[in-house]
Amino acid sequence: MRGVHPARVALVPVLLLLVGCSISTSLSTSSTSSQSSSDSSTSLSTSSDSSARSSESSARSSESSSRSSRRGDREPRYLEDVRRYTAANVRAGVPLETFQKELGELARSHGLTHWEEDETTYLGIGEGLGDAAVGKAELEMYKTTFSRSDPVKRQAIQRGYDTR
Amino acid sequence: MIRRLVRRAALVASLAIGFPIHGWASERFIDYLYIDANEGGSSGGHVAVRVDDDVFHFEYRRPGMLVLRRDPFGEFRHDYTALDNRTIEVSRIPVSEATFRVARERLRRRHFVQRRQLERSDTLRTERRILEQMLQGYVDVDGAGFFSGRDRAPDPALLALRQQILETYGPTFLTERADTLRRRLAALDRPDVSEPALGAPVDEAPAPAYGVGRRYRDTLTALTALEVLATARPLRPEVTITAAAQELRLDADDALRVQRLSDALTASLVRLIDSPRPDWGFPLLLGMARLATLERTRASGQWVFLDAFPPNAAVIERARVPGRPEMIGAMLTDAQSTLDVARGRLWSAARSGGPFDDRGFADFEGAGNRIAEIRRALDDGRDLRLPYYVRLPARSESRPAVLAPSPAALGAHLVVAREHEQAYDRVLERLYEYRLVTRNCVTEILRELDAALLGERADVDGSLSFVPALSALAVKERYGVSDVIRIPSHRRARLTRLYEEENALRVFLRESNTITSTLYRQNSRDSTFVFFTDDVVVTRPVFGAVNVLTGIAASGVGLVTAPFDRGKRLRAGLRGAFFSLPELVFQNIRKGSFEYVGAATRDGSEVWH
Repeated sequence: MRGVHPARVALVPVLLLLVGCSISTSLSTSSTSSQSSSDSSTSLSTSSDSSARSSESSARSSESSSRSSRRGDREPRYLEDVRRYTAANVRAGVPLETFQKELGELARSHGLTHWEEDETTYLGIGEGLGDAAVGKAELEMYKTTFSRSDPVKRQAIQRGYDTR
Repeated sequence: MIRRLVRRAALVASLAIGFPIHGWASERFIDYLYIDANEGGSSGGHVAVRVDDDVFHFEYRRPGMLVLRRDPFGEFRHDYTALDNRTIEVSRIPVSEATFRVARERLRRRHFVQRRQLERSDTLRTERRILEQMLQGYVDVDGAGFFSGRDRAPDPALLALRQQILETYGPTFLTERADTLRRRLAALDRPDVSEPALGAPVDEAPAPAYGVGRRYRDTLTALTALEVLATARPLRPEVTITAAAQELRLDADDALRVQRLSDALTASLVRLIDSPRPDWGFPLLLGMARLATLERTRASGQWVFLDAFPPNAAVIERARVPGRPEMIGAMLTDAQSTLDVARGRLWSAARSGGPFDDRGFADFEGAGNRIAEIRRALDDGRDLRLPYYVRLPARSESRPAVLAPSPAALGAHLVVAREHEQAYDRVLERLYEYRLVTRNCVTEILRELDAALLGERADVDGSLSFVPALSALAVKERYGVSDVIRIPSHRRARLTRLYEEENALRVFLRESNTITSTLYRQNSRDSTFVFFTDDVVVTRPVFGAVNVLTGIAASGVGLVTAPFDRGKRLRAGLRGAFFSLPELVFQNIRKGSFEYVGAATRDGSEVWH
């Protein structure tokens, strides 16, 4: 075993000062998008100074800040999120109710509560189904389930699916 | 040593062969960002990588985890260069389109996986908390706090909504819907559905879970929403915000638009109440509260919004508001601009006759909150809540835990929930444990860049590249940086402009200290100091000595005032002395920070060296 060089020992206090990375206690890193305060203030996954957290998912809500983001900036991110969550849930065989619940939380973190009336949701679901490489029969099943027979929503899912 | 040099040479050679892209010929860039130090957030500096418009960076979070964040570049830059007043050094790495895509997907994927893992952790925590509340006989319900008790006069907007629902679905609809919810609550006493496995592979997103507690709360929330609707309970006055300001006054056209918005929202809520989603209760409560604010808006001729500020928002105390006219003016200008854009989008959506624009209304509501808050602070002499983090309103209130499972069943669920929560937290802490030298914000970024650009993990043992301030050198050596750009901190950028416009000596004398500076005002987040030392070198030790003495003196005063200000002045003084010590040996950490930086000033600081 090699001995520890004294110079390195002397460096330790300097390193403690120099190596820090950002600690998520600054104003700059706090961002959630729902004002509920029913959850933890010491959550493992949340900024320690987040003044309010989504009751369901502060980790998720840290993604969106309504502080300066406008709709145009947030929509692509929401679309991508719905796509990724859909693909992951379909691959994992997550029950529909749990999937819907998760979509609700995801939408809420983007400042959207009634996701069933937002076309981007259906585009994202379609894209996620495409990423999960579901077959035609399964696609039809999801289209029927999520669109509740609304042709506009069905078409949006199909359009999203066709892009992948 | 020789072996290391050979290894590095081999790496550089492999870069040249594998990625023969020169700066001038490159289609794309990956930017390595080094953010210099400041007190508070990161006294050793911070690093990040920008791919496209996304900035990825690892943050330390208590109790000792490294968490990958993904932020839009504009927000990241605003946070670090404007509010935190730190300079960003951008090292541009030219890459091919294919490499760019690989790197972007790799980072996005890693972020997604960790995010879902953290969500899972939060979900387990929430589940446990709800079960604890249920055992105590109540559950906090988001949205329930918007509405008054039953003894108040019914809200006309909710009466109209109720009528429309009954006309659409029939007179027994609400009763039947409530019965279904009660049956669902009663059925929750059955054995729980199987929970997904608790493992957490670093590259695999966990499946979501939906346990008894959260199912119970969602069902109770829906029942609460039906109860509010059935009795048309009015809003509590304290949940709304408005101001007698020109910006919030309705004109003749607006009155018609408000009616259109109300109609669209009503139609949307009529559809929502028949939704199969399990968590429709909160959206219905929020929608009804917004409908009631639209009715108040119509009646008063002045926009009324749900208060969207978080309960413990950072504030500028009322005594300080009159002394900050430039900052308040910038806030107002920004808020007005955001309101105009949001209003334009909302009206455009309303004209098209589509469904209620939920997100557009949230943007408008947020902008309206900012205007109202600033006007109230100016006109009524109130504290000003900082208009940064406006939220989706979700006033929570405790509700009795009706039809809950038996205490024995709840106790059993709680035992399992606690075990799951603790086990999963341990898994995550192991997976993402922060280590000062071997796993910090630099090592993880370099690991990702290595994998994306080199296809392997480069050996950094023995080097100091894990130190943020030195890491840019390693990046230059390893990835073939073609260009280095500096984005100056807010103060430095404005200082440069002042030097161009005014007498240099006068600017130096005036702006070198916190007392006469026109660019900086004491921010409550900052420690006590007199001289800025980030833009001077020769005089740094002298200025540093004054700063140390100032910090010590402030600490002495803070000792006396501690009983009255809860040690605030004492802490600021001690931190001031501590962060001045490096200045004695020509090093700078503290730069001061800003409470608010307006968009106009931000745009003006677009200086790339």
